[in-house]
Amino acid sequence: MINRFFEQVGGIIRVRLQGKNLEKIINMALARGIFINDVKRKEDGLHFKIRSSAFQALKSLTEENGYELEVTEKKGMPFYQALIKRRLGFVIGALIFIISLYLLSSFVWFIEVTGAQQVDPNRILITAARYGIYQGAAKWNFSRTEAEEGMLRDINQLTYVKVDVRGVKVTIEVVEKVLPRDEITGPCHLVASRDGIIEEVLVLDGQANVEAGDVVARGDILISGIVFPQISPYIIPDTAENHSNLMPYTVRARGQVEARVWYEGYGECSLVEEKVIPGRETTLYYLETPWRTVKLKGTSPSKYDMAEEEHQRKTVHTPLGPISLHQVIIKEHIKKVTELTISEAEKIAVERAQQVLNAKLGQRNQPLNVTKEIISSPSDPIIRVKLTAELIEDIAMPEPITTAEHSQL
Amino acid sequence: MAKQREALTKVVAEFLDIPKDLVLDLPKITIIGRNEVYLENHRGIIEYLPHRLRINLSRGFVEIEGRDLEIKALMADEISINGQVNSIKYHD
Repeated sequence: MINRFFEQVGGIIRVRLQGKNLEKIINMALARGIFINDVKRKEDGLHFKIRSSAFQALKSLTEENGYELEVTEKKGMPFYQALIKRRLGFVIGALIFIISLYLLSSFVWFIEVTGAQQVDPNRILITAARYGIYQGAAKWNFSRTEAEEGMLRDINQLTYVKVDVRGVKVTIEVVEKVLPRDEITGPCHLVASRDGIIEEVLVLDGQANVEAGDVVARGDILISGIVFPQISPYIIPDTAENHSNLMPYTVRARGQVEARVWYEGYGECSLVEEKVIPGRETTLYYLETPWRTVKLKGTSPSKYDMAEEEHQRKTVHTPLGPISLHQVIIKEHIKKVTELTISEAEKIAVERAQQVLNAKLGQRNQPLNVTKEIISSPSDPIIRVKLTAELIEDIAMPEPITTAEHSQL
Repeated sequence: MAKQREALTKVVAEFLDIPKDLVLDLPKITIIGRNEVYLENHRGIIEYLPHRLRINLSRGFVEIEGRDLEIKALMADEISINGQVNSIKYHD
């Protein structure tokens, strides 16, 4: 096989040798370092193959000794030269195709990030770019393992990074760390997370500081983690043993404190409303190359009074520079002034306040009641509405006991 | 003189366990089936006919008889023969 290849590259010549005592020529050729292949004896003489480079030597040898040498076949690259010259365009085209295919496939064209949930994929892309993986980067300019290790080092929320290079696409697969919630494990108080009126106190551990009906502000201690043992009135106080038990100690306070709390939502609506409604729309397409920008489609309008432009770019980073398809959407805006009656404005303000309130409430309990309050004076051109939702919820929130409190014990 | 020298190389080769085809220029013939023959350390071709091939050796010659004999490759000290081989004889 490899022999055949070298024959093709070097070129071989098949010859016919005629004369008497042909073995003599073969031996002489051998002595001069001409290798001979496929020797066949036929009636019309001796047929054999030699390399094209050895042909001149053999020819002079036969001429000196009075033999007749005839070329019967020529094979191999050197003899295709004429053909190649005739089809030069084809050969050059094929070469350019192969070279461009090789060049284009040795750059990164697409990058995909998978598995990122908490971490911003853009951050991962930027970090990857720092290690040489970006759109348009040559594949030989970065090392996969180096980038993986570097990204793990730089983004400490990640526990695993795999960079997969498939053709011109790089897939960065990440797995994020699942960190344990930092809970307070030491002794702590339960404090109020917001202002309210206590409805019910359930102590599991610790000492209650409040009782139903108390008004508490945010940060007040509801269930104390510092417990002062009390002498039971039913046991006769004894000696020093009881005394030592009476020392205050700390616990991790646990329990539930239900309280009546309020959430507020505010909304307003002007009696004269200016509204912008969408009108006509025109789309333009441009092809942007590093050298020039070509308009592909659309004509830019000049008759819109008020318009908004929306730009969308699809960019391919090539080694030559970014090439992008630029889409411009021009949207006409029509201004519309509407005058509202007080009741209409109020309705809109309430709606807006309700939206704000709903956002604050989120997944909390259903409010017991919602009260509406109009806080603007009748002469105001704007109707302002405040909605207050009243509900009962657990406001207990753990807070560690400070060292100052500890030292007081 | 030459004979003495040859005897000495033979003794040394035997003593040192060196393959004799290397030291003494002896022919080495490899036959695969009956269609392929490789011969190393030859001294040229004496006669080539489709039914008989005589190859010169450092001492004497070897005669290969058969049918449709062909020399597949011929190099300075190596020869490869294809064809149906009937006999291989040594002659002095």
